Amino acid sequence: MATLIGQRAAPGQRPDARSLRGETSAVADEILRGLYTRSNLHWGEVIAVSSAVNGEGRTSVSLGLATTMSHDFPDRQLLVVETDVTRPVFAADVGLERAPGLSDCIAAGRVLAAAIRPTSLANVCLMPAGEVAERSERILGSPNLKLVVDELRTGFDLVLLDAPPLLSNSDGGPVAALSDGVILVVRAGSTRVEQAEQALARVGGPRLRGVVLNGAVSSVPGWLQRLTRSDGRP
Amino acid sequence: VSARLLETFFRHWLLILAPLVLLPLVVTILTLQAPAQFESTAGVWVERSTYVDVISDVSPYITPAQSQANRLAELLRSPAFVTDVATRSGLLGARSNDSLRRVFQDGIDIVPSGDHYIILRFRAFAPDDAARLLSATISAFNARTKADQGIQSRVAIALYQNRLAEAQDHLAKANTALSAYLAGNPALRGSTGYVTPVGALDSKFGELQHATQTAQADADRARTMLDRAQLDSAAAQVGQELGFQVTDPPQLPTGPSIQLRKVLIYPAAAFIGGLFGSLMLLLLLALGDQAVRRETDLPSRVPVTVVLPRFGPARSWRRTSSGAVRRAIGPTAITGGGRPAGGSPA
Repeated sequence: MATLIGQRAAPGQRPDARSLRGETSAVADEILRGLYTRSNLHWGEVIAVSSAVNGEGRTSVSLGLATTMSHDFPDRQLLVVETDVTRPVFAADVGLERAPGLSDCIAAGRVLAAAIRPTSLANVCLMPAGEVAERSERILGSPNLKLVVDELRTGFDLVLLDAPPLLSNSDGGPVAALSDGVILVVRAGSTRVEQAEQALARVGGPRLRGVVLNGAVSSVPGWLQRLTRSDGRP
Repeated sequence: VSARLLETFFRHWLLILAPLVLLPLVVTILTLQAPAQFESTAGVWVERSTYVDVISDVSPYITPAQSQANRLAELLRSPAFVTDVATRSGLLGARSNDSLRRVFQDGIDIVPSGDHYIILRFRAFAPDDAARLLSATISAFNARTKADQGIQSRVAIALYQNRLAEAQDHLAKANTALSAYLAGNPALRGSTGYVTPVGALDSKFGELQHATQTAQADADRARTMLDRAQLDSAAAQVGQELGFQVTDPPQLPTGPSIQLRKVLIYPAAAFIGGLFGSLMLLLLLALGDQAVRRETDLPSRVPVTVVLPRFGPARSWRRTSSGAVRRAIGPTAITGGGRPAGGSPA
């Protein structure tokens, strides 16, 4: 996903939506377009983007999916919620202030308007995780989480939950259970087969909307792939 | 499986090819950097190693050169023989016994060429050593051969003397029996001494005559063999070395020898070893890789919705942290802002 965007932004400089659109690879856009069409998403749904372990590209896929959908549906409102309160990254990577965020909303028992941050894309908002919580299970296990999610569902056309990993974080299951569907991200070359299978088993068949094989690259040269391909495709 | 092996190979091609390239390279460098060796060559004409054919275990289908070459190769495995050679060459005190044995095991080539000709080559790190050791080897082998032949000739003389005595005894008995039979049957021989027609028809007389002739032939053969054994023994004693002649004496080598065996065989063996190592490494890497790499690695009941490739060269991917992606999403981060302008909650 890194090269979807291009070069790293200079410190203190945040590319606006126009430059973002120009740098985004058309190929990646098309792939992410395929993700939301094949995942059978509907407006008004809450979709969790999760993975087996950390570092598989959940946040990148969530943000990339939101960006592509915002281009394709400029009149729809999208929200990406960071739910991994133990390892928040929005604050550091996207440049948002950490609080107020999701954990503050849960503590208050309602959606705090200040927790929803607009972006350079007019129809995409972000909600950071909030202050780092030492006992995350108290926050994500709170019944207030469902209230917050339900309120967000009514306020946006599509809510993407950047969920904690299913295997390495005990919060992953409860967050996925609150959603209408789960998109599972599997990092090619990193996630082990058994980890992917365990994560798939935890999600369950009906809830699973799609699997994203992220960062797939073949080391075999192109000419050899064409030579060994049995179906004769170029 | 082949796709996975291919994938593994191209992903770790540097690591996998390392044994295949480095091992022959290192071996070739070591071979070329090894100290130069000098080779001394000699030619020896040999006879069969034994006189007594009846008691020899040497196959008649093996040439004398092959027989003697095998014998010398076996002798070189004997510490006593090696010590004898070292003593003759003057290197006994200069080298340890193990070192000497290795020198003889690796340094000498014994090549039969024809039925009676043996070519001997000796390699050493000093030209003088090569010539001296080869001369000493030939000298020790010659001495051992002469000693063996002397023993064998004495055994042969004794054997053929016994055979001759037995044959002569049989002949005497046959003559006595024939004479007694003739004396008892004067009609068998006429007044002129020739056998009469009556004698020609006498079976007993014919049998005695045949026994006498056979005993005579045995005695003659035993005498011939005895004469030959006595002649060989005498020849060996006077140093004529009939069965062992150094036709091409060892020469002092003037330059280092080109050792094709080392230059070609060792790197080739290292290449084969490296190839085996590379294949094992490839298999280990392929079997040890449990990561999901393609759609087919996931359970078949789970269809992959999209495959997001890694765009651009891998190095730039590694340089660019995941944070750059998120930063590039570019939120305006209006702190304290509410809903986005124009936002219309569903």
